[in-house]
Amino acid sequence: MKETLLELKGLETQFFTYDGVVKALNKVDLVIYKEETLGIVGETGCGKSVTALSILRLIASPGRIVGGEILLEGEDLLKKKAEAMRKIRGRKVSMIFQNPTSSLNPVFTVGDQLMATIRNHTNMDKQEARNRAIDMLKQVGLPDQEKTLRKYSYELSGGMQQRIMIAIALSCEPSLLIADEPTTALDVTIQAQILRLMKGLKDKLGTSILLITHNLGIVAKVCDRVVIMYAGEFVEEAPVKEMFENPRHPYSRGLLASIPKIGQERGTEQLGIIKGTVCSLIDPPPGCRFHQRCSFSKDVCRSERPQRVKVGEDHFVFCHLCQ
Amino acid sequence: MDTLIEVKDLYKYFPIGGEQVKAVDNVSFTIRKGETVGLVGESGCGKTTIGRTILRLIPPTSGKVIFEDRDLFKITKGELKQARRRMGVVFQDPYSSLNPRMNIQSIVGEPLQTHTKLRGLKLQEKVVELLAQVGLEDALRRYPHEFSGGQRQRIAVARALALEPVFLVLDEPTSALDVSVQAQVLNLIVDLQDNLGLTYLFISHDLILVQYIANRIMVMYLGRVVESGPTQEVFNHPRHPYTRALISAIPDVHIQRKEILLEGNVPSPIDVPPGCSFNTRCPEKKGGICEREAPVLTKVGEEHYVACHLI
Repeated sequence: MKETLLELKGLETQFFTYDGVVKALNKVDLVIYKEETLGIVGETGCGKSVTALSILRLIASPGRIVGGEILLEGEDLLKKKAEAMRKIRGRKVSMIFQNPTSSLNPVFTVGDQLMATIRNHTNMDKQEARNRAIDMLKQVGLPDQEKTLRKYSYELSGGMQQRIMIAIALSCEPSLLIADEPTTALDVTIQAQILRLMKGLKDKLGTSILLITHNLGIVAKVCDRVVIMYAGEFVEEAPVKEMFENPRHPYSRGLLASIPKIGQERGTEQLGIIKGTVCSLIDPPPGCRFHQRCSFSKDVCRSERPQRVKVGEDHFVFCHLCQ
Repeated sequence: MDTLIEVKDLYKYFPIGGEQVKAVDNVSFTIRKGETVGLVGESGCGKTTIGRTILRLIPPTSGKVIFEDRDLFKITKGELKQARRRMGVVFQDPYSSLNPRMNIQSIVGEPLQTHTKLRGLKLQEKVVELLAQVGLEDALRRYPHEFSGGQRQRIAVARALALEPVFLVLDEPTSALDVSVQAQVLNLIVDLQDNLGLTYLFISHDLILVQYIANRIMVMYLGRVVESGPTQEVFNHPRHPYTRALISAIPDVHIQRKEILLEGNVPSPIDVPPGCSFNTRCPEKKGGICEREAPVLTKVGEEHYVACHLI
């Protein structure tokens, strides 16, 4: 039986801008199980990163979490004091970002940054932390660990920097690693290396991974389950294979049809497109947020928000048409 | 089919400090009328430099680019202006390739003002017609910031088409866009080619895109072409170890392949390894010869060329 690690209940995050209130996350529910890799997929601005940052309570002003619960092993993170939250970040939940070059501090050495994280969260003395740091660098496959510790981030390539980020993120053996587009800034062969590394470490350390990406191919390669987001809401969740073979939500289908497949030649078929553009998150349409672009929409889609419907084993869809 | 562009022994070195960055290192190829050639490789392998040299936006260190039977680097200024009408370019980032202070009419109309005698209402009519081609009829008086990434890229396409060129360099035209928007732009590019008979050089790091759009494909590594051939042939029977690794590394939704994982990073183009430039990462390296001699492109099939000692 799968054990729940993290549960989002009715989570609502909004940004209070001069133009109006941006409803970036609209009462979303999500469960992440222990030792699984869950992918969140969606297009720019759909709320993927906001979901991740909300979990870590890193939403910056003018944004605010306005409602809901974030239960990590049963404890609500939204009720924690700031000090307690700092002990969770990097220790129980850690995160790596899209651009490793800007996530590392260029005026501190790799060793400084790695050891700072370790010593912040454990009782290790300097020498122990150093040994731990060297061990982590070994685990992420970097050669010359002693030398690497003394290097600055700009002396390393993008792939190596991302390995350092992973070493920092996993140095305190968190139960959840949030990876926000971890390979978008990297070349394909380096991307393959990093994905392989993340998968290996996950199996070894038993960490759950929340992988945020817009690349469906990566999801197919590393995730167990996947959630598709659209305009601040989840529209479909399913095990990866099921999602690719049998997508049910019109948006998921549109998204899958829009990527070229190997062997698909342009003479034979056009790429699928989703007509129109994403709705405004300041003034989203009532009912299903996708209804204006959906070719199957009915009256009920314009007035009522769709509920989560079970359509198969672990497969849920938010769509009136599937009811 | 007729040859439109012929690139011969092209070298482009950028001097940095006392050293040379070997961005393009002895590349030759041809592009025929009406076809799409895909150029793939990782960042820094020289894809964009080739695109820019073909357009004579930068001078080569040595070598020739023959466009419609004329050597682009030997022609006079007047002839160059004529040649420039026949070619266009769409850049990767539609946020920096459109001037934020110009409205769409000026942006799309600028090449027409430079090269034709169209002015006033006639010019405006032509611009509207161009914008209609890319599905943005009412954009005339608006400014770039009012458009989304996909719409901006279409404006850039309209501008590139203004002088009815025969040849377009598309330098990562969709890599800044979301997948559903990417599909719209790709469909547009394909439709335009079918309707106007254009020739494309499609530069991308995304192999799936290239295999979808290109007739022929060239794989580059560290400034050299390591494999070239008809797209489906290269995809189904890749011969160079680098091409094989690249294809195996494509994260694909539909097929799970056995992955060939390359160790390490691409070496610096300042300090290219002697012999085959791929020898430091090659999983099938034979030893001596790979480190000593640079392999040359050898024919292995119908139009299919590979530069590897193992072949």
